[in-house]
This record gives sequence, structure tokens and C-alpha cells, in this order.
Amino acid sequence: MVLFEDVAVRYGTGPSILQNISFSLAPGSFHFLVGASGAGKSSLLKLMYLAMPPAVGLIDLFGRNVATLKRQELPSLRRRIGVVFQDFRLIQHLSALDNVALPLRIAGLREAAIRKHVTELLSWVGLADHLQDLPATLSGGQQQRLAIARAVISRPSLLLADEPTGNVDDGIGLRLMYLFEELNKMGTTVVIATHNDHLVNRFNHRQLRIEHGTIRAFDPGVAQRGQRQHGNPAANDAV
Amino acid sequence: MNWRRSDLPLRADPATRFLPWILGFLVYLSALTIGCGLMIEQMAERWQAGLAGNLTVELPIDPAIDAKTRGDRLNAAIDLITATPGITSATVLEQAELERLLRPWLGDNVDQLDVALPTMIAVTTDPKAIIDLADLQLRLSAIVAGSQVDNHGNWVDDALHFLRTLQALAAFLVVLVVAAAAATVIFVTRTGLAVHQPVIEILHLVGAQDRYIARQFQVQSFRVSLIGGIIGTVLAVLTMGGLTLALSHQGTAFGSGGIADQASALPAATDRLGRFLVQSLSFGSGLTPWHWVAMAVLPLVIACLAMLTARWTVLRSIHRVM
Repeated sequence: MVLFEDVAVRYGTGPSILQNISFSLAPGSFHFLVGASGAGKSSLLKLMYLAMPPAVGLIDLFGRNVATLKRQELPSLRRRIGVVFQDFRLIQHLSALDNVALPLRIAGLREAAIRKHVTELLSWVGLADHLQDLPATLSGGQQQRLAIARAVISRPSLLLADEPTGNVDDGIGLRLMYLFEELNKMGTTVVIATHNDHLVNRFNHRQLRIEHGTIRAFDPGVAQRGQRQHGNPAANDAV
Repeated sequence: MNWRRSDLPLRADPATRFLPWILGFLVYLSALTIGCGLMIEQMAERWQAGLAGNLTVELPIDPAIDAKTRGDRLNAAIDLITATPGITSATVLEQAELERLLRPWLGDNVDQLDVALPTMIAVTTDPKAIIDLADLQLRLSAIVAGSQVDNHGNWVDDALHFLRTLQALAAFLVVLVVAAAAATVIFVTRTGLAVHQPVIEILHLVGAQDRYIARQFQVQSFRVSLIGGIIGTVLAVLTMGGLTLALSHQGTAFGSGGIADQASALPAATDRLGRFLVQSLSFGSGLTPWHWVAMAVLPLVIACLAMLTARWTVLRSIHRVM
């Protein structure tokens, strides 16, 4: 599904934020992207949702080398990716319903079907009473749920979420994680960037840790088995 | 795609709010210019048709010849003229009529001037007939020395050349105005791309293609251009109608010695000449129903042009935004 080989990220002519990034995400896998604030989690996600090219290295997305993609080929790949932005990036002059409907309208679905799916999903995330409200009139937590709904409405092949539970209470946060897990069970590859250790520890999924500009994969299941077998917690290394 | 819905807040743009008025003014200028060009075309055709089939024969007066001889020669000239194949009638302008026609140029005492006015014969011909004017003049000169036969060709050629020049100028003005309209649309579209760059970025990240975004600018440009075009065309039609009314009132108010009066005082043979000159000076009467249809379609043409310009601008410029 996703392959990074020796990728580096640099903004302008400054130093590399990330270097020697190599990992792969199998289809249908679930990952937490963890690291301290400013470690480069959002930058890594930007590479994955094709918002910027890498300074060096190979990125293979859905079997396509992104460096060779033409401009008109980008939209079809992006439609397979759902993104929950850290700053939500909702369109302020569109209602909650229209924001969530956006990916479906861009894909060309019929309006009646769009309204049905969107209304159902917004009800599920607890925004049934805010269909026609503008994002500015919603709370931070409501906007976050709205952003998540927009990201998942089209059942993307790859879901990237940047701090998706940062503005909601634990109850809603858990509910959202269950939503992500349901999507994952239906085949969506999920990557959640978070520094919520409680969330990471509660859900036993593979972790991609960014430390000192590089990435290491950490599988809690392997680590636990390793601990039981050898008493060694550091049983994982970078791929 | 729902053509009424837009993901971009283009209607709220200040530049977009002024666009209908700017385009309306440009369409107003275009419509007036096109209307004038069409009227000039009609005028040229009427002049050509109206002067076709008319000749003027001028027989100079020789004071040394007695009146009887002059009369005999005049009759011989008229017989020669009417016997020429293709000529349908020949009418001698009476002295009084001649003096009245010359009065605006020579003054009220034209009848007391010591000037021998030539004898003028108004000749009508079959428009399809081919008459050898040089031969006719030669044969007339044998009867009355110095006779002149004038088919007004030089005057018509000069007048038509003038009209064609006006038409070319009108066409050039229309091209300039259309170019200005296109430039306005390009400017407004580029401004919109820059102003709405954050929303356009979100649309791209959610999977929108460039043509999805271009379509929204297209629809908006079409809508505001159509509104402006209709306003401009209606105002242009009202302006032309108002001018028609004003000129027609001015024509009937000339009274004695005015153009209309002179036209109506001309004898039957030259009455056609006078009447079509008066008509030619009136706006509006020169446009055919098809011309009015063309004017009615003008807003749609402008709107389509604006729509295509907006699309082209977005597709050319959007890669700089994203």
C-alpha cells in the first residue's frame, strides 16, 4: 500500500527534518505514528497525502511511484486517501453537511445518495442536529468530528489522521477510535499521528516512532512476546 | 455537478460583484457599435440601390444662341435620351425648381443672379440595363456642346468608401471592447484563484481535479456576464431607439427649406433620391429583424466568451496556486 525508501524531508534550504525514512504499510494495517511535538509527524503525513514531494527518496503509493505522477493523476490517488488535518481545514462558508459531502460530490455521486450517506454518518458522530451549521458555529470537538466524517465518508483505502482525538473527551475519542477500527476491518489502512500515550497503549497496534529525525517501527505484540520470552522490551528495530 | 452550487465563495468576491457592471458597460459599447455597423451596411445598400437607375444630364446654356434654337436642341436631346435602350423616362427640371434647389447654396436672389443655369434633365433607367454613358454623352455633345451625363458613380464610390471605413472602424472598436472584456475576466479569475487559494488547496487534497475547480469559475463567469450582457444590450437598444425618435422629430421639424421639405418638393423623377436620403439619416429603421435577433443573442455570446476565458485562465494558472 505505502512504501517509503530513504526519504528525506526538508523545507526550503534548511536542514532535513527527517532523513533515511524507510518503512512500508501493508494493505489493511493499522499504525500509530508517534513522536514528540515537532518531531515531523505532520510532515510525514504530508508526504503520504501528496501535499509535498520528498527532498530525496522513493515514495510508492498504491503501487505508483509518486515522483513519476503527472499533475492530472494526483486527484485519483488523493480520492483514495482520507485525511484528518490537525487544523481541521474545514471550508468555513459550507455547512457541516456540505463539508462532509465534498469528497462524494467531487467523485460525482448522485445528490440523493450523498445526502443519505452524509446524514447517517453525521448522526453517528453526534452531529445530527448541526447539518446546516457553519463550522465557525461549532465547538472544537464538533469541528474535529466533522473533519473526521469528511475523511471517512468515501471509505478511503488509506486514512491518515493527525491528532484526531485532540479536541474531544475520552468518550468521544474512544468512539472515534472504534470508527477507525471498523474502517480498518473493512480494509482501510489507517495511520494515526498522536502523542496520546493512553490511546496508543489501549489499542494494540503497530507504532511508527519518529525520534531524532528517523523512524523506527515498534510492534507492541512482538515486544510483549519478546518480553515474555527474553525479558527484553526493545525487541523491535526499524524496517 | 449541481451548477447552482459552488464550493468556492465566488459570489461574495468584491471583484465579482463589480464584474456584471463592467461587462455591462462593455457590452453596451459593443452593442451600440455593432448596431451602428449594421445600420451603415443597410445605408450603403440603400444608397447603392437608390442611386441605381438614376442619371442626370446637364446641358449648358449658350447665351449666344436664340431661345428657339435652344428649344429645338433641347427637344432633340430629349428624343435622343428617350430613344436610348434602357432609359425609361427623361424629365426636364423646371427653372423654378432648379432655383429652389440652388437657393440654399446661392441665396434667395438666385433668380436675379447673372448666371446662366444649365438645363438639368433627370433620367431614370432600368437598373438591369447596361447603358454606354460615354457614347450617350458623345452623341448629346453633338447636339448641345459640353453636355454632361452623370450617373453619380464617383459620389457613390466616395460615399461607400467612407461608409466601409466607418464599418472597419466599428469592427475594430468591437474587437477592442471584446479584448477588454476578456482581460477583465482574466484579471477577476486570477484574483479569485489567489484569494481562494486555501479553499482550492483543500479541494485538491480531497481529490478535486483542476477542471472541477475551473468549472466553478466558469459557471460564475457565465452567470455574471449574462446579467451584465443583458443590461448592456437593453440599454444599447434603448439608446438606439431614443436616437431614432429624436432624429425623426428633428426631421419633421425642419419645415420650409428643410431636408424633408426639399425631398417632398422634388419632382417625381428625383423624389426617390430625396426620400432615401432622409431615411438614411434615421437610426433604427436600417436594422432588419435578423439584426435585432443578433443583438438579442449578443449577451449569450459574451457570456459564453467569458465562460471559456475563465476556464482557460484557471487551467493555465492553477498550477501556480497549487
